[in-house]
Amino acid sequence: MKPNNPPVIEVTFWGTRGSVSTPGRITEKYGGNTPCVSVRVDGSVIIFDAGTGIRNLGLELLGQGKDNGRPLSLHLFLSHTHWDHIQGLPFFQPIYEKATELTIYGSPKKGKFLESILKGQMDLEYFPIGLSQLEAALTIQEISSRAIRIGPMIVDWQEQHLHPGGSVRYRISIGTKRLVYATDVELDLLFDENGDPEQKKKQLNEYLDFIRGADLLIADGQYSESEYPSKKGWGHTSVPVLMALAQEAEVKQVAVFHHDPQHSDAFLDELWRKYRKDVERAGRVVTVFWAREGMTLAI
Amino acid sequence: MTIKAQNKIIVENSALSETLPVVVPARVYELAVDYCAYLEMRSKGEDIKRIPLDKKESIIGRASSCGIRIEAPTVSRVHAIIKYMNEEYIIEDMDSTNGTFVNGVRVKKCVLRDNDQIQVGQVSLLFVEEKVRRSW
Repeated sequence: MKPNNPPVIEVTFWGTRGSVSTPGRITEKYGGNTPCVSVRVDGSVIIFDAGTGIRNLGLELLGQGKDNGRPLSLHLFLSHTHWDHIQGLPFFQPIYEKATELTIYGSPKKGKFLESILKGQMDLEYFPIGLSQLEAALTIQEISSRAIRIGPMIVDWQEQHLHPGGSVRYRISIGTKRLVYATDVELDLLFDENGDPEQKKKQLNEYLDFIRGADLLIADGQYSESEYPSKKGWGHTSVPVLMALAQEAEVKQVAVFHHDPQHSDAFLDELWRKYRKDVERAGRVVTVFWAREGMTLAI
Repeated sequence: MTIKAQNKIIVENSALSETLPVVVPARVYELAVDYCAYLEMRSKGEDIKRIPLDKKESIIGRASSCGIRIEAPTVSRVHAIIKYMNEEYIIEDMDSTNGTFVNGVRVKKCVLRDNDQIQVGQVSLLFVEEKVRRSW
Protein backbone atom coordinates (compact mmCIF):
# COMPACT_ATOMS: atom_id res chain seq x y z
CA MET A 1 0.00 0.00 0.00
CA LYS A 2 1.23 3.46 -0.87
CA PRO A 3 1.60 5.69 2.24
CA ASN A 4 -1.26 8.10 1.49
CA ASN A 5 -3.72 5.65 0.02
CA PRO A 6 -6.72 4.92 2.24
CA PRO A 7 -6.73 1.26 3.31
CA VAL A 8 -8.90 -1.12 1.32
CA ILE A 9 -11.85 -2.66 3.17
CA GLU A 10 -12.46 -6.25 2.13
CA VAL A 11 -15.98 -7.44 2.78
CA THR A 12 -16.84 -11.13 2.33
CA PHE A 13 -20.26 -12.73 2.53
CA TRP A 14 -20.08 -16.15 4.22
CA GLY A 15 -23.80 -16.50 4.85
CA THR A 16 -26.66 -14.46 3.40
CA ARG A 17 -29.76 -16.54 4.14
CA GLY A 18 -32.27 -15.57 6.80
CA SER A 19 -34.07 -17.66 9.38
CA VAL A 20 -32.71 -21.13 8.59
CA SER A 21 -29.99 -22.62 6.42
CA THR A 22 -31.17 -23.82 3.03
CA PRO A 23 -28.70 -26.17 1.37
CA GLY A 24 -29.60 -27.46 -2.08
CA ARG A 25 -29.26 -26.83 -5.77
CA ILE A 26 -31.88 -24.11 -5.99
CA THR A 27 -30.04 -21.92 -3.47
CA GLU A 28 -26.41 -22.51 -4.40
CA LYS A 29 -25.93 -19.19 -6.23
CA TYR A 30 -26.94 -16.87 -3.39
CA GLY A 31 -26.08 -19.44 -0.77
CA GLY A 32 -27.81 -21.41 1.94
CA ASN A 33 -25.80 -20.46 5.02
CA THR A 34 -27.25 -18.08 7.60
CA PRO A 35 -25.77 -14.61 8.25
CA CYS A 36 -22.07 -14.04 8.57
CA VAL A 37 -19.99 -11.25 6.99
CA SER A 38 -16.28 -10.60 7.52
CA VAL A 39 -14.62 -7.21 7.17
CA ARG A 40 -10.84 -7.04 6.93
CA VAL A 41 -8.59 -4.03 6.89
CA ASP A 42 -4.81 -4.22 7.20
CA GLY A 43 -4.92 -7.53 9.07
CA SER A 44 -7.73 -6.54 11.47
CA VAL A 45 -10.82 -8.74 11.25
CA ILE A 46 -14.37 -7.87 12.23
CA ILE A 47 -17.15 -10.41 11.88
CA PHE A 48 -20.83 -9.60 11.78
CA ASP A 49 -23.00 -12.40 13.13
CA ALA A 50 -22.30 -16.07 13.69
CA GLY A 51 -24.82 -17.84 11.48
CA THR A 52 -23.83 -21.10 9.85
CA GLY A 53 -21.66 -19.21 7.35
CA ILE A 54 -19.08 -18.59 10.07
CA ARG A 55 -17.94 -22.22 9.79
CA ASN A 56 -16.32 -21.65 6.40
CA LEU A 57 -14.82 -18.35 7.55
CA GLY A 58 -13.20 -20.21 10.46
CA LEU A 59 -11.60 -22.72 8.14
CA GLU A 60 -10.19 -19.97 5.94
CA LEU A 61 -8.85 -17.99 8.91
CA LEU A 62 -7.09 -21.04 10.28
CA GLY A 63 -5.57 -21.77 6.88
CA GLN A 64 -4.23 -18.24 6.66
CA GLY A 65 -3.04 -18.34 10.28
CA LYS A 66 -0.97 -21.41 9.49
CA ASP A 67 0.50 -19.60 6.49
CA ASN A 68 1.58 -16.48 8.36
CA GLY A 69 2.09 -18.03 11.79
CA ARG A 70 0.30 -15.19 13.56
CA PRO A 71 -2.31 -15.77 16.29
CA LEU A 72 -5.86 -14.79 15.40
CA SER A 73 -7.39 -11.71 17.01
CA LEU A 74 -11.06 -11.59 16.07
CA HIS A 75 -13.98 -9.31 16.89
CA LEU A 76 -17.48 -10.69 16.46
CA PHE A 77 -20.41 -8.24 16.53
CA LEU A 78 -23.82 -9.86 16.97
CA SER A 79 -26.86 -8.08 15.58
CA HIS A 80 -28.95 -10.12 18.02
CA THR A 81 -29.15 -13.64 19.31
CA HIS A 82 -31.87 -15.20 17.23
CA TRP A 83 -30.85 -18.65 16.23
CA ASP A 84 -29.85 -17.92 12.64
CA HIS A 85 -27.31 -15.35 13.91
CA ILE A 86 -25.52 -17.47 16.52
CA GLN A 87 -25.96 -21.07 15.47
CA GLY A 88 -22.62 -21.33 13.68
CA LEU A 89 -20.53 -20.28 16.69
CA PRO A 90 -19.98 -23.81 18.11
CA PHE A 91 -18.69 -24.82 14.66
CA PHE A 92 -16.27 -21.89 14.32
CA GLN A 93 -12.99 -23.79 14.44
CA PRO A 94 -10.77 -20.92 15.72
CA ILE A 95 -12.54 -21.07 19.12
CA TYR A 96 -10.87 -24.44 19.69
CA GLU A 97 -7.38 -23.01 19.13
CA LYS A 98 -5.25 -21.63 21.97
CA ALA A 99 -3.79 -19.01 19.67
CA THR A 100 -7.18 -17.33 19.10
CA GLU A 101 -8.45 -14.27 20.91
CA LEU A 102 -12.13 -13.69 20.28
CA THR A 103 -14.20 -10.79 21.58
CA ILE A 104 -17.95 -11.04 21.12
CA TYR A 105 -19.97 -7.83 21.25
CA GLY A 106 -23.71 -7.53 21.61
CA SER A 107 -26.49 -5.27 22.77
CA PRO A 108 -26.28 -4.03 26.36
CA LYS A 109 -30.06 -4.35 26.52
CA LYS A 110 -29.57 -8.03 27.09
CA GLY A 111 -27.36 -7.35 30.13
CA LYS A 112 -25.55 -10.46 31.38
CA PHE A 113 -28.12 -12.31 29.37
CA LEU A 114 -25.85 -12.25 26.28
CA GLU A 115 -23.33 -14.57 27.88
CA SER A 116 -26.04 -16.87 29.21
CA ILE A 117 -27.68 -17.11 25.78
CA LEU A 118 -24.41 -18.09 24.14
CA LYS A 119 -23.72 -20.55 26.96
CA GLY A 120 -27.23 -21.89 26.60
CA GLN A 121 -26.82 -22.99 23.01
CA MET A 122 -23.69 -24.91 24.06
CA ASP A 123 -25.33 -26.69 26.97
CA LEU A 124 -24.80 -30.43 26.93
CA GLU A 125 -28.38 -30.96 25.75
CA TYR A 126 -27.53 -29.18 22.52
CA PHE A 127 -23.78 -29.53 22.01
CA PRO A 128 -21.01 -31.71 23.47
CA ILE A 129 -18.57 -28.88 24.33
CA GLY A 130 -19.46 -26.07 26.70
CA LEU A 131 -18.61 -22.40 26.22
CA SER A 132 -16.29 -22.49 29.25
CA GLN A 133 -14.30 -25.40 27.77
CA LEU A 134 -13.05 -23.51 24.73
CA GLU A 135 -9.32 -23.23 24.10
CA ALA A 136 -9.52 -19.70 22.73
CA ALA A 137 -9.34 -16.63 24.98
CA LEU A 138 -12.95 -15.51 24.87
CA THR A 139 -14.34 -12.16 26.01
CA ILE A 140 -18.01 -11.29 25.89
CA GLN A 141 -18.55 -7.58 25.93
CA GLU A 142 -21.69 -5.52 25.90
CA ILE A 143 -21.38 -2.48 23.70
CA SER A 144 -21.62 0.91 25.34
CA SER A 145 -22.35 4.35 23.99
CA ARG A 146 -18.67 4.74 23.12
CA ALA A 147 -17.50 3.75 19.68
CA ILE A 148 -15.01 0.87 19.52
CA ARG A 149 -11.70 1.14 17.69
CA ILE A 150 -10.31 -2.00 16.09
CA GLY A 151 -7.13 -1.36 14.10
CA PRO A 152 -8.02 1.44 11.69
CA MET A 153 -11.78 0.76 12.03
CA ILE A 154 -14.16 2.67 14.28
CA VAL A 155 -17.39 0.83 15.03
CA ASP A 156 -20.51 2.56 16.31
CA TRP A 157 -24.02 1.23 16.58
CA GLN A 158 -27.71 1.88 17.14
CA GLU A 159 -30.51 -0.20 18.60
CA GLN A 160 -33.14 -1.37 16.12
CA HIS A 161 -36.54 -1.60 17.78
CA LEU A 162 -38.47 -2.90 14.81
CA HIS A 163 -37.63 -6.57 15.23
CA PRO A 164 -39.09 -9.03 17.74
CA GLY A 165 -36.70 -8.88 20.71
CA GLY A 166 -34.74 -6.02 19.13
CA SER A 167 -31.51 -6.00 17.18
CA VAL A 168 -28.46 -3.77 16.62
CA ARG A 169 -27.10 -2.13 13.48
CA TYR A 170 -23.40 -1.39 13.18
CA ARG A 171 -21.35 1.09 11.20
CA ILE A 172 -17.65 0.87 10.42
CA SER A 173 -15.83 4.09 9.57
CA ILE A 174 -12.33 4.43 8.20
CA GLY A 175 -11.52 7.97 7.17
CA THR A 176 -14.33 8.93 4.83
CA LYS A 177 -15.36 5.34 4.07
CA ARG A 178 -18.50 3.93 5.67
CA LEU A 179 -19.92 0.44 5.82
CA VAL A 180 -23.23 -0.31 7.52
CA TYR A 181 -24.55 -3.70 8.59
CA ALA A 182 -28.27 -3.36 9.34
CA THR A 183 -30.15 -6.62 9.18
CA ASP A 184 -33.26 -7.92 10.93
CA VAL A 185 -35.35 -4.80 11.07
CA GLU A 186 -38.85 -4.11 9.75
CA LEU A 187 -38.50 -0.63 8.27
CA ASP A 188 -41.94 -0.87 6.65
CA LEU A 189 -43.44 -0.25 10.11
CA LEU A 190 -42.04 3.30 10.02
CA PHE A 191 -44.67 4.04 7.37
CA ASP A 192 -47.50 2.13 9.02
CA GLU A 193 -50.61 4.06 10.03
CA ASN A 194 -50.47 2.67 13.58
CA GLY A 195 -48.19 3.98 16.33
CA ASP A 196 -46.88 7.36 17.43
CA PRO A 197 -46.01 9.45 14.32
CA GLU A 198 -43.42 11.53 16.22
CA GLN A 199 -41.66 8.43 17.47
CA LYS A 200 -41.63 6.93 14.00
CA LYS A 201 -40.30 10.15 12.48
CA LYS A 202 -37.50 10.15 15.04
CA GLN A 203 -36.63 6.53 14.29
CA LEU A 204 -36.68 7.19 10.54
CA ASN A 205 -34.32 10.14 10.86
CA GLU A 206 -31.98 8.13 13.09
CA TYR A 207 -31.86 5.39 10.47
CA LEU A 208 -31.30 7.79 7.57
CA ASP A 209 -28.52 9.62 9.43
CA PHE A 210 -26.84 6.35 10.30
CA ILE A 211 -26.73 5.03 6.72
CA ARG A 212 -26.22 8.37 4.98
CA GLY A 213 -23.61 8.27 2.23
CA ALA A 214 -22.50 4.73 3.10
CA ASP A 215 -20.14 3.15 0.58
CA LEU A 216 -21.85 -0.15 1.31
CA LEU A 217 -25.12 -0.84 3.11
CA ILE A 218 -25.77 -4.49 3.93
CA ALA A 219 -29.45 -4.50 4.72
CA ASP A 220 -32.46 -6.66 5.40
CA GLY A 221 -34.63 -6.95 2.28
CA GLN A 222 -36.27 -10.28 2.89
CA TYR A 223 -39.63 -9.73 1.23
CA SER A 224 -40.95 -8.59 -2.10
CA GLU A 225 -43.67 -5.97 -2.10
CA SER A 226 -46.42 -8.55 -2.67
CA GLU A 227 -45.14 -10.87 0.07
CA TYR A 228 -44.86 -8.25 2.79
CA PRO A 229 -48.54 -7.85 3.82
CA SER A 230 -48.77 -11.50 4.91
CA LYS A 231 -45.44 -11.20 6.81
CA LYS A 232 -46.15 -7.97 8.64
CA GLY A 233 -44.81 -8.02 12.20
CA TRP A 234 -42.23 -10.72 11.47
CA GLY A 235 -39.40 -8.21 11.75
CA HIS A 236 -38.12 -7.88 8.19
CA THR A 237 -38.14 -5.22 5.49
CA SER A 238 -39.60 -5.26 2.00
CA VAL A 239 -37.29 -4.46 -0.90
CA PRO A 240 -39.05 -1.30 -2.20
CA VAL A 241 -38.93 0.33 1.24
CA LEU A 242 -35.22 -0.46 1.56
CA MET A 243 -34.52 0.94 -1.92
CA ALA A 244 -36.43 4.16 -1.23
CA LEU A 245 -34.57 4.79 2.04
CA ALA A 246 -31.17 3.93 0.57
CA GLN A 247 -31.77 6.40 -2.23
CA GLU A 248 -32.91 9.09 0.13
CA ALA A 249 -29.76 8.63 2.21
CA GLU A 250 -27.58 8.61 -0.93
CA VAL A 251 -26.07 5.24 -0.20
CA LYS A 252 -23.56 4.25 -2.88
CA GLN A 253 -24.01 0.49 -2.87
CA VAL A 254 -26.75 -1.68 -1.38
CA ALA A 255 -26.35 -5.39 -0.69
CA VAL A 256 -29.79 -6.87 -0.11
CA PHE A 257 -29.35 -9.43 2.64
CA HIS A 258 -31.15 -12.00 4.82
CA HIS A 259 -32.79 -13.84 1.94
CA ASP A 260 -36.02 -15.62 2.67
CA PRO A 261 -35.56 -19.41 2.98
CA GLN A 262 -38.33 -19.91 0.42
CA HIS A 263 -36.59 -17.78 -2.21
CA SER A 264 -34.77 -19.77 -4.89
CA ASP A 265 -31.87 -18.42 -6.94
CA ALA A 266 -34.24 -17.92 -9.87
CA PHE A 267 -36.61 -15.89 -7.72
CA LEU A 268 -33.81 -13.70 -6.33
CA ASP A 269 -32.51 -13.15 -9.89
CA GLU A 270 -36.01 -12.00 -10.80
CA LEU A 271 -36.14 -9.58 -7.85
CA TRP A 272 -32.72 -8.23 -8.79
CA ARG A 273 -33.77 -7.57 -12.38
CA LYS A 274 -37.02 -5.88 -11.34
CA TYR A 275 -35.78 -3.64 -8.53
CA ARG A 276 -32.45 -2.81 -10.09
CA LYS A 277 -34.26 -1.27 -13.05
CA ASP A 278 -36.42 0.82 -10.72
CA VAL A 279 -33.38 2.08 -8.86
CA GLU A 280 -31.36 2.80 -11.98
CA ARG A 281 -34.29 4.75 -13.36
CA ALA A 282 -34.23 6.92 -10.25
CA GLY A 283 -30.49 7.23 -10.84
CA ARG A 284 -29.23 7.84 -7.31
CA VAL A 285 -27.96 4.57 -5.89
CA VAL A 286 -24.92 3.42 -7.81
CA THR A 287 -25.23 -0.35 -7.37
CA VAL A 288 -27.88 -2.66 -6.00
CA PHE A 289 -27.29 -6.36 -5.70
CA TRP A 290 -28.48 -9.38 -3.79
CA ALA A 291 -25.63 -10.52 -1.53
CA ARG A 292 -24.07 -13.83 -2.57
CA GLU A 293 -22.19 -16.29 -0.43
CA GLY A 294 -18.57 -16.46 -1.61
CA MET A 295 -18.46 -12.86 -2.83
CA THR A 296 -15.74 -10.43 -1.69
CA LEU A 297 -15.90 -6.71 -2.37
CA ALA A 298 -13.06 -4.23 -2.01
CA ILE A 299 -14.25 -0.84 -0.83
CA MET B 1 -21.79 -55.14 1.41
CA THR B 2 -21.84 -54.60 -2.35
CA ILE B 3 -21.25 -57.36 -4.88
CA LYS B 4 -20.72 -56.50 -8.53
CA ALA B 5 -22.27 -59.20 -10.68
CA GLN B 6 -22.58 -59.31 -14.44
CA ASN B 7 -24.26 -56.01 -15.38
CA LYS B 8 -25.85 -55.85 -11.95
CA ILE B 9 -24.93 -54.53 -8.52
CA ILE B 10 -26.41 -56.45 -5.66
CA VAL B 11 -26.43 -54.66 -2.34
CA GLU B 12 -26.58 -57.04 0.58
CA ASN B 13 -27.10 -55.87 4.08
CA SER B 14 -27.50 -58.32 6.92
CA ALA B 15 -29.33 -55.72 8.99
CA LEU B 16 -32.05 -55.80 6.40
CA SER B 17 -32.14 -59.58 6.12
CA GLU B 18 -35.90 -59.64 5.81
CA THR B 19 -35.80 -57.60 2.65
CA LEU B 20 -34.79 -58.77 -0.77
CA PRO B 21 -31.39 -57.67 -2.10
CA VAL B 22 -31.60 -54.38 -3.97
CA VAL B 23 -30.74 -54.79 -7.61
CA VAL B 24 -29.35 -51.67 -9.25
CA PRO B 25 -28.85 -51.74 -13.03
CA ALA B 26 -25.20 -51.18 -13.97
CA ARG B 27 -26.50 -48.47 -16.31
CA VAL B 28 -26.10 -45.94 -13.42
CA TYR B 29 -22.43 -45.71 -14.30
CA GLU B 30 -23.26 -44.43 -17.74
CA LEU B 31 -25.43 -41.73 -16.23
CA ALA B 32 -22.66 -40.25 -14.10
CA VAL B 33 -22.34 -36.52 -14.69
CA ASP B 34 -19.50 -34.09 -14.61
CA TYR B 35 -19.26 -30.36 -15.14
CA CYS B 36 -17.38 -28.35 -17.68
CA ALA B 37 -17.10 -24.60 -17.78
CA TYR B 38 -16.13 -22.02 -20.33
CA LEU B 39 -16.31 -18.31 -21.02
CA GLU B 40 -18.14 -16.85 -23.98
CA MET B 41 -16.80 -13.67 -25.50
CA ARG B 42 -18.73 -11.66 -28.06
CA SER B 43 -16.95 -9.15 -30.24
CA LYS B 44 -18.44 -6.96 -32.95
CA GLY B 45 -18.55 -8.67 -36.32
CA GLU B 46 -17.12 -11.92 -35.02
CA ASP B 47 -18.56 -15.25 -34.02
CA ILE B 48 -18.97 -15.97 -30.34
CA LYS B 49 -15.64 -17.16 -29.00
CA ARG B 50 -15.71 -20.03 -26.53
CA ILE B 51 -12.81 -20.12 -24.05
CA PRO B 52 -12.59 -23.40 -22.14
CA LEU B 53 -11.74 -23.27 -18.43
CA ASP B 54 -9.93 -26.57 -18.36
CA LYS B 55 -7.00 -25.63 -16.13
CA LYS B 56 -6.76 -25.23 -12.38
CA GLU B 57 -5.88 -21.59 -12.89
CA SER B 58 -6.47 -19.33 -15.88
CA ILE B 59 -5.11 -15.79 -15.85
CA ILE B 60 -6.95 -13.12 -17.86
CA GLY B 61 -4.96 -10.15 -19.13
CA ARG B 62 -3.19 -8.37 -21.98
CA ALA B 63 0.22 -9.90 -21.28
CA SER B 64 1.41 -12.63 -23.59
CA SER B 65 1.97 -14.89 -20.58
CA CYS B 66 -1.77 -14.92 -19.76
CA GLY B 67 -3.70 -18.09 -20.50
CA ILE B 68 -6.69 -16.00 -21.55
CA ARG B 69 -5.18 -13.15 -23.48
CA ILE B 70 -7.45 -10.22 -24.27
CA GLU B 71 -5.86 -7.40 -26.19
CA ALA B 72 -8.08 -4.52 -25.16
CA PRO B 73 -6.80 -1.22 -23.73
CA THR B 74 -9.13 -1.34 -20.69
CA VAL B 75 -7.83 -4.76 -19.67
CA SER B 76 -4.74 -4.72 -17.40
CA ARG B 77 -1.64 -6.71 -18.31
CA VAL B 78 -2.54 -9.17 -15.56
CA HIS B 79 -6.19 -8.47 -14.78
CA ALA B 80 -7.91 -11.41 -13.06
CA ILE B 81 -7.56 -15.09 -12.37
CA ILE B 82 -10.14 -17.87 -12.49
CA LYS B 83 -9.31 -20.73 -10.14
CA TYR B 84 -10.94 -24.13 -9.89
CA MET B 85 -11.06 -25.05 -6.21
CA ASN B 86 -13.26 -27.48 -4.30
CA GLU B 87 -15.28 -28.12 -7.45
CA GLU B 88 -16.05 -24.42 -7.84
CA TYR B 89 -14.80 -21.72 -10.17
CA ILE B 90 -13.69 -18.55 -8.40
CA ILE B 91 -12.72 -15.30 -10.11
CA GLU B 92 -10.30 -12.96 -8.35
CA ASP B 93 -9.26 -9.49 -9.41
CA MET B 94 -5.48 -9.03 -9.55
CA ASP B 95 -5.39 -5.35 -8.61
CA SER B 96 -6.46 -4.36 -12.10
CA THR B 97 -6.88 -0.72 -13.01
CA ASN B 98 -10.46 -0.89 -14.27
CA GLY B 99 -11.77 -3.64 -12.04
CA THR B 100 -13.50 -6.99 -12.34
CA PHE B 101 -17.28 -7.07 -12.22
CA VAL B 102 -19.74 -9.92 -11.77
CA ASN B 103 -23.29 -9.07 -12.77
CA GLY B 104 -22.47 -5.38 -12.47
CA VAL B 105 -20.88 -5.56 -9.00
CA ARG B 106 -17.18 -4.75 -8.67
CA VAL B 107 -15.67 -7.68 -6.85
CA LYS B 108 -12.34 -8.61 -5.35
CA LYS B 109 -13.30 -12.26 -5.47
CA CYS B 110 -16.45 -14.20 -6.35
CA VAL B 111 -17.60 -17.78 -6.71
CA LEU B 112 -18.97 -18.06 -10.25
CA ARG B 113 -22.31 -19.57 -11.17
CA ASP B 114 -23.79 -20.48 -14.52
CA ASN B 115 -24.76 -17.43 -16.59
CA ASP B 116 -22.78 -14.92 -14.55
CA GLN B 117 -21.81 -11.90 -16.61
CA ILE B 118 -18.19 -11.00 -16.03
CA GLN B 119 -16.67 -7.70 -17.04
CA VAL B 120 -12.93 -7.12 -17.18
CA GLY B 121 -12.26 -3.53 -18.14
CA GLN B 122 -14.84 -2.98 -20.86
CA VAL B 123 -14.78 -6.56 -22.08
CA SER B 124 -17.81 -8.70 -21.32
CA LEU B 125 -17.62 -12.42 -20.80
CA LEU B 126 -20.33 -14.93 -20.00
CA PHE B 127 -19.50 -17.73 -17.60
CA VAL B 128 -21.19 -20.98 -18.60
CA GLU B 129 -21.14 -24.13 -16.53
CA GLU B 130 -22.59 -27.20 -18.21
CA LYS B 131 -23.39 -30.61 -17.01
CA VAL B 132 -21.95 -33.28 -19.27
CA ARG B 133 -22.57 -36.99 -19.27
CA ARG B 134 -19.56 -39.21 -18.87
CA SER B 135 -19.51 -42.93 -19.44
CA TRP B 136 -16.97 -44.78 -17.35
